[in-house]
Amino acid sequence: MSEQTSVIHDIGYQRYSGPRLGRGYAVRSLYEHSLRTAFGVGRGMKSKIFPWGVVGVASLITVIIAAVSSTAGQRVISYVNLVDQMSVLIIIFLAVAAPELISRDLRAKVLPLYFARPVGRFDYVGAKFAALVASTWMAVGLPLVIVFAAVAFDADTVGDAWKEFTLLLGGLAYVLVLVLINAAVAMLVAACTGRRAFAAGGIVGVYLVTLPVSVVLSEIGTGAAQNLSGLPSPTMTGAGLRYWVTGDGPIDIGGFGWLYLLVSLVLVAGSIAVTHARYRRVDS
Amino acid sequence: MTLIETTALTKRYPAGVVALSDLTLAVQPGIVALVGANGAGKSTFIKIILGLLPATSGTVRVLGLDPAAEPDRVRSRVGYMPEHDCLPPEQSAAELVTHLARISGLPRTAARERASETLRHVGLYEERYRQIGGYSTGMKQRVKLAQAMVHDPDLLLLDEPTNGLDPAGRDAMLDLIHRIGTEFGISIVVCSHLLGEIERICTSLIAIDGGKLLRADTVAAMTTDRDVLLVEVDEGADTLVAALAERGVAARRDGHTVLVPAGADESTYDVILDAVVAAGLPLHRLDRQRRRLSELFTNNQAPEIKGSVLHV
Repeated sequence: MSEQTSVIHDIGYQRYSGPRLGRGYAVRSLYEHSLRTAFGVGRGMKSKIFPWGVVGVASLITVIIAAVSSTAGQRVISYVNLVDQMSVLIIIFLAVAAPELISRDLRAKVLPLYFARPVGRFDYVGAKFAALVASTWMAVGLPLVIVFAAVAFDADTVGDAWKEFTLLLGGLAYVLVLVLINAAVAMLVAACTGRRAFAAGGIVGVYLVTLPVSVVLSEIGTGAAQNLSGLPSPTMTGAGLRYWVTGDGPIDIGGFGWLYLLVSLVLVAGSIAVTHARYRRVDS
Repeated sequence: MTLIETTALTKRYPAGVVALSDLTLAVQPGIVALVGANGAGKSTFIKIILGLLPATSGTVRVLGLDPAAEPDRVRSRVGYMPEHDCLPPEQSAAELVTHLARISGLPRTAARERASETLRHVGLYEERYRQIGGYSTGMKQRVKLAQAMVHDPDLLLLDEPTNGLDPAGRDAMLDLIHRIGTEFGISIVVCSHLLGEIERICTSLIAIDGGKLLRADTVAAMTTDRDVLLVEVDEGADTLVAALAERGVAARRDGHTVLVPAGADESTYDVILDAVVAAGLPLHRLDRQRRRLSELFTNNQAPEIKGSVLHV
């Protein structure tokens, strides 16, 4: 008969004497956690369906484009034009991620737990915004990388591949601009309600209302009115910036590039400021 | 070291509501009960301690630090358990507490280890990997407590920790708090509107009402000198009262029993026994009756303390 040798030791409570990292680490941790949350990592299957669904759809479209490009021996659509075609995917991903990152915390009243720690309201808003931008950028940027991979491996010379790579960077930069502007608006909408369905509806609603306004103004307007028609819509404001830089795009903004830049900056900074102000009212 | 020290602390909200008025106190380490009715100013007091609200006037020092000037340093040494539900239902307790440990500044590995350990200390084992949404109220309260102490604070602020619990759950939570305060070496401020409940576990007590300090003292000081000895004789209660009066002890009769104020030392017992023996009375019971703290307040025996510093 074997003797029982294992013993459970109750070592009691241990004080923690290890390092305590500062506020920067706390904010970074919140950012990482939010980034995981956006893709449903560390959560149930239900949380993964929507974000990965968007990534899947985007990838499927681009795999087809990549296949066609590969067969044709050249890219059938430029990266920036592809981004314009996928702008609705940016909105859909934001409508999934922003309520998950922001409305959910409001609903569960988690904020007092954060604000009782070395994380301020501005840190919280900043980390959430950064995670929202990064996750959307990754989700929508991935298809561009797929197209690049297909085309670059087909390139005849290293020079061609390098040229392709710079074009890819341009496309990714354009995605980032569109994501920054739309994410700021999405965050503001999501911070207004604790109900995720309302937040998602609001984010899509803003897109669906502002885009037609912009399109109609562009159709009926002439001259300067037409050049300024992109400003009511966050997405078209971003498209205007593309025109300013590349001289091409879905909207002709004439010489108003600086105004589009100003509106973009005001939109981003304003949304962050209003969201921050909103959290001052949240009971902690 | 003094745990919390305030001088003339006043908080006036913009709407004109005075939440705290001229609060001056000094709290020594231990388990401190902060009692007062709803709206007495307890939550405001906690928010000022955490540096979430600026005081209108007066000063406050927590663990020797000014929470308004150094909120980060104060918050990394203080743990806070909010009164209301504050847990995301779709996360597991292990993941949430690990995450919050990192927000408190613990490196990744340490955060994970301390989260498991702390959840074990509050009595959550395998359940910690389940989503919080499926937890009972008692388990949720334990998770809230665990997240407050996962970073090993020097001071725990517990806001109504027994809220929503059944009697058994209340007892378990109070025992746990008592253990944290005595065995773990963490000082605790427990807010409650139920005095009878926390007087069992606290070492000192602060009572506030309408933002004003009602009383602040150690529990021992509040109860001992007010204890009563209860003497029960089968017959001749009046004889006993008279016999005690002869020996210089002011007793009074209450039905079958005779109530005698307990002195500072044990000599009163001897006097009573002498009187009983001398009169040849059949003694049925001799008992020390602890006064409940709540009686001290209902009887309006709280001394006038305005403007003076009370060391708890």
